[in-house]
Amino acid sequence: WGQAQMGVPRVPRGSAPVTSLLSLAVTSEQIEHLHRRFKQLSQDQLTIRKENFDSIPDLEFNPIRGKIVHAFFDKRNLRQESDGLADEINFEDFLTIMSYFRPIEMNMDEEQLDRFRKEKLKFLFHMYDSDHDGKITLQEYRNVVEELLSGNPHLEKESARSIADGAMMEAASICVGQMGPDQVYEGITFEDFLKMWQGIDIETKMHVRFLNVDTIAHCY
Amino acid sequence: MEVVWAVGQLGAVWLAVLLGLVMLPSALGVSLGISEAYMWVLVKTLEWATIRLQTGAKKPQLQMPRTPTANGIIERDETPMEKEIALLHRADFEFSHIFYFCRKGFEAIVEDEVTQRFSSEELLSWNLLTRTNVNFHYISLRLTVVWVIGVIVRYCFLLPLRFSLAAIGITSMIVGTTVVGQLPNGSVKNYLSEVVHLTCSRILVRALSGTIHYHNKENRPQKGGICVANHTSPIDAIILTNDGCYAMVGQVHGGLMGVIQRATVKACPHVWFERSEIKDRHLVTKRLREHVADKSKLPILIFPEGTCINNTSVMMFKKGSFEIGGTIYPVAIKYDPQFGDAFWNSSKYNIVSYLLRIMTSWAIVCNVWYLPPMVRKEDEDAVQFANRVRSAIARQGGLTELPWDGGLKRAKVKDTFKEEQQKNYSKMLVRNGSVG
Repeated sequence: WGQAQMGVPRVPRGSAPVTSLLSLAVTSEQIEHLHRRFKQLSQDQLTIRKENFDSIPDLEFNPIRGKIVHAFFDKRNLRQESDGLADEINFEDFLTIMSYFRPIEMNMDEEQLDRFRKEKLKFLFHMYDSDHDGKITLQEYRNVVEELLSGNPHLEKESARSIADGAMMEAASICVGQMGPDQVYEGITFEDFLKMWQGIDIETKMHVRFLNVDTIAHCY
Repeated sequence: MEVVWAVGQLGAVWLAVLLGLVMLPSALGVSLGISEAYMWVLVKTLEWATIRLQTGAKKPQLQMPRTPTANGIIERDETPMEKEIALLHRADFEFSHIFYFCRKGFEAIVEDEVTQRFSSEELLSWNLLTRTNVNFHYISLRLTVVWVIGVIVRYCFLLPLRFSLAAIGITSMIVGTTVVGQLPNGSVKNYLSEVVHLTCSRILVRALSGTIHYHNKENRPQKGGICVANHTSPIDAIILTNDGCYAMVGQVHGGLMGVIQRATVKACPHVWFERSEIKDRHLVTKRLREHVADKSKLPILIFPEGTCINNTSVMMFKKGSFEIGGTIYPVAIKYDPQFGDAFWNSSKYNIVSYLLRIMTSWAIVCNVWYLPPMVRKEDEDAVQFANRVRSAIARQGGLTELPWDGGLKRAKVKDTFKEEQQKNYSKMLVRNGSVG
């Protein structure tokens, strides 16, 4: 009749102590929830592959679905030294990626907040910069816009392009200032990217907040 | 020799006890109050266990009453897409737009609305069954002892009892309906068939230790109507037939189920379809229409979701049932998961292990609401009517409505659905005058 023990469900052996990675923000309950979700997605295997994300109906709606899934396997996000894409990720990696979406805490000081923000923006940056060269070029940017608009069959490729080009010009003007007619803007580097986001507090927008799921008395 | 005689005597005593305490009251439709006493003891025990769990937990508890139908573990920001993007608006709008979709994507990955409907509802407090012990930690020796006693009671006492009751119930159903089936058609036959069906249903409900509360009995389905209900498990049919007689609709099965089907159809006009006939939608609709048109026939019982959902939400109703015409009598069924999980997760358990789990739970407690009858309006099509009925059922049962198809248990999202969402977003961009 199943396990007779009444202990806490364990994080699988073989993954390094998870708490060191996430320092503070994710409680053990949340880890349990995420672990259960991981098992659901991986169908009880130890690792997840790209195909496992196909089983999420809600995700099908998302125009940048490909980029989001890609982000899970991007070695830069997984904080690994090498570059490129991983084939499969384990629970520890899954948590690493989820940690980019932790909500801010009340007790964070300026320096922590700043680091926090940079981490999240770096994550976004990687999403745009698909060839991993540290710059978002016009072509890469066009790719993203096309994906965002991919659902609408009436919108032509030309329109998507012009939106992308227009936005790129804006970005250039913010980052480099006035450009001469012959100057070529190579691409948005991470520093430029940071500049663009000044004034918008993404920390409060880019997070997934867990509900408090402590056990409570439920007497009739 | 003596052993055999002793066993025989024991068996006879057992049977006599069951006859007196269960079968006779079932036939007469009265209750001896045994179930009520059992439930009272059970509730007291679970309350005690809950309090132990609370005092045992080290951290301070927030007295946030989480409603049993609150769904999900993450807080979702329900701001509509347009508003949220407007908030982030700057000259370089695409960069900020990616936020919205990024976050939505992550929310979906952490938890999606649909997949969680196909697994059992999580409990707020442990109900002393091992199978629900996911979140709860070891608290005290006393609790463990109570749990062990619970296991012994459930497996060594309740399980054999329920099993014998179920066996008796099914056997009497088959025998009873076969006997009644021999009679010539007429009011006597109908009356006897009702008696047999009701008695056997009641025995089966007792076999599950079922406690059912029926609300608004004045709206009970009448003859010549169609009864629709939300679907959680194969037991739903028994829950409903406990209080009235219905004509079942379904596919012909083999094995024990097939025997029951063949026997019951002789006594009462149930509608059983061959596998080949089910594929032909027009044939199905025609036969059901004929049945409904005959006002002397019992109301049909249909579960329009098409598959078992975990009783926290109602998924899309298939429109076929709503094209037949006639009066629809909606019924909402809500199980109380504290005493036993009635949801059949067909991808995880087969029918036998499911029944075993049901019979080793504490009890099946549920509420049944009969809703006022509904008829399709002039300007409504079948789909709109189906949605209207679904809303009524969801509202009454405290369930959420999802626009999803129960078929998602096994298949992927239809492409037409996907395009809708993406069209919305690009329409919005174009409207903002960003093009050209």
